[in-house]
Amino acid sequence: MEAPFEANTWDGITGAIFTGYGSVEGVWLGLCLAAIVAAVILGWRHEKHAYEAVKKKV
Amino acid sequence: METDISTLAEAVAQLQASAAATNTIFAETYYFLSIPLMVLIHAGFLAYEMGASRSKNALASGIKNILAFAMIVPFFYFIGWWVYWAFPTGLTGSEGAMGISGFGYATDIAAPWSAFMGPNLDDKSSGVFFGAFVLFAATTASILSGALIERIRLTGFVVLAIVLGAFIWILAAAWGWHADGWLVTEWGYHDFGAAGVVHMIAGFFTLGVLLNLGPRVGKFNPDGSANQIAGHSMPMTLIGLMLIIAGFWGFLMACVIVPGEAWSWSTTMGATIYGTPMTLSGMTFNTIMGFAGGIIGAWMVTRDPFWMMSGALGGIISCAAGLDVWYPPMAFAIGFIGASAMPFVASFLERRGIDDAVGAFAVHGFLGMWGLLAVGIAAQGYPALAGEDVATTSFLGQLVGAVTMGLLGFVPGYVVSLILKVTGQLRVPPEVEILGLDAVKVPSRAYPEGINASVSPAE
Repeated sequence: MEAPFEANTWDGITGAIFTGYGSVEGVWLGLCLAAIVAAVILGWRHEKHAYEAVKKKV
Repeated sequence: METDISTLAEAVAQLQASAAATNTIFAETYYFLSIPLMVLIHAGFLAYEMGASRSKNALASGIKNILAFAMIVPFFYFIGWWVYWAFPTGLTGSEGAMGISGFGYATDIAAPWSAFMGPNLDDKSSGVFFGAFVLFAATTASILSGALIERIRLTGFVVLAIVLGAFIWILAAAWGWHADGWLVTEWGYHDFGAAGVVHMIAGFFTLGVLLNLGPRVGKFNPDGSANQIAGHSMPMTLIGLMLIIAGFWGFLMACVIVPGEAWSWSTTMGATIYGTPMTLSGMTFNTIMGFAGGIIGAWMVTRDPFWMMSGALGGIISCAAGLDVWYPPMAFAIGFIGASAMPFVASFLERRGIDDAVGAFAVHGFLGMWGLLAVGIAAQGYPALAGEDVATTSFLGQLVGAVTMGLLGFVPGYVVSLILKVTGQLRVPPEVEILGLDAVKVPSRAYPEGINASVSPAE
């Protein structure tokens, strides 16, 4: 989770420069996926509770 | 003398480097700017869907549309972009003749941990191409979204949108919108503006979902006759449709491969995604003529502004597959014929108890198919790829493509929505539908003053 190169200048730097390149991509991919799954589960629960509340009222 | 030549050579080298840098930033900017133009498509779909919903469902329709766009982005990053490069030759993952496909190539350039899937000083194209393709993907989900308004569960819809936007359409694009695509190399399939791989796929996927979702409460009477369920704002819908058309210029712009880069097909000539030569100028003739033909054709048979604007969209979709080669009056006629037929297709579905709230199948599914077949009827004999001894366009090739697109869209749409239906995740309960989705699950109000949301089923 840092620069993928060790340097004190941009001179001579080429290729991929994104943070964590070649080391921790999997962690961030997993975190993205986990965030989406969590959001969808919470959204699903919200819908379920909202529909059940209407059914109780009717 | 030697000094003069050396100085001249140095000056030429500097000029060449400068010209190359200018061309690269032009190419990068070209696709970069296609993206906000395509975002207009989504602004349009948002307004279109909300306007086509009754006021009691306006915001729920908006949420559905916005969320579909957002959900497709990460899944397209995770897998969709890889699918495009992995499967052109079929499901085997083998490399095609152009050497730009197969599992190995896809993993090198498009796996989410690849060096090219983020800021890379040696790569000035992957991100903007990825962005343009994501916008194509989001368009497929928006096409689906409009047809299902006012009764689908949000989470069920999200699943369908991800399946369509991050898997199905991009598999179709790999097969028919890629220079190594088997439909192109073996059948001469031609689909410059994505009539098949975006519109037809999304339209047929939508049809499969509609069969399982069922009609809105109050849409049909016990005798089978249909009621008109008017949206709460026709002006919003019309403006939305015009925004979609404005965004279409970005969509078509992104279908062009600009010249002069290492990944370009030519150093001097614009090209289709297949490498065949084309010009923006020629495409512009045909897009405008198809647009006009579509409006006039739809007006002739309906007099309805909703169908006129859908006809504008339908006119362009009808011409999309051959926008690079049509004679412009022919583009007008193809748009006119397609848009004239479109309302009858919508009525045909309605008479069979299918409630497509915005005519998505008629506009995208049917006219996407018409667009593919139109190339087979009237644009036979064009080389389908760059290079020697390549397949040429033919009616049979376009027919094979249309059947493939129809099945690839319909079957997954039907199967995934059936699974959601069986598990109770497809449709909201009827009492919720009657009360209105906004009141039940949206923590804000579309119109807090002045407009009272109707709760009667068929208003």
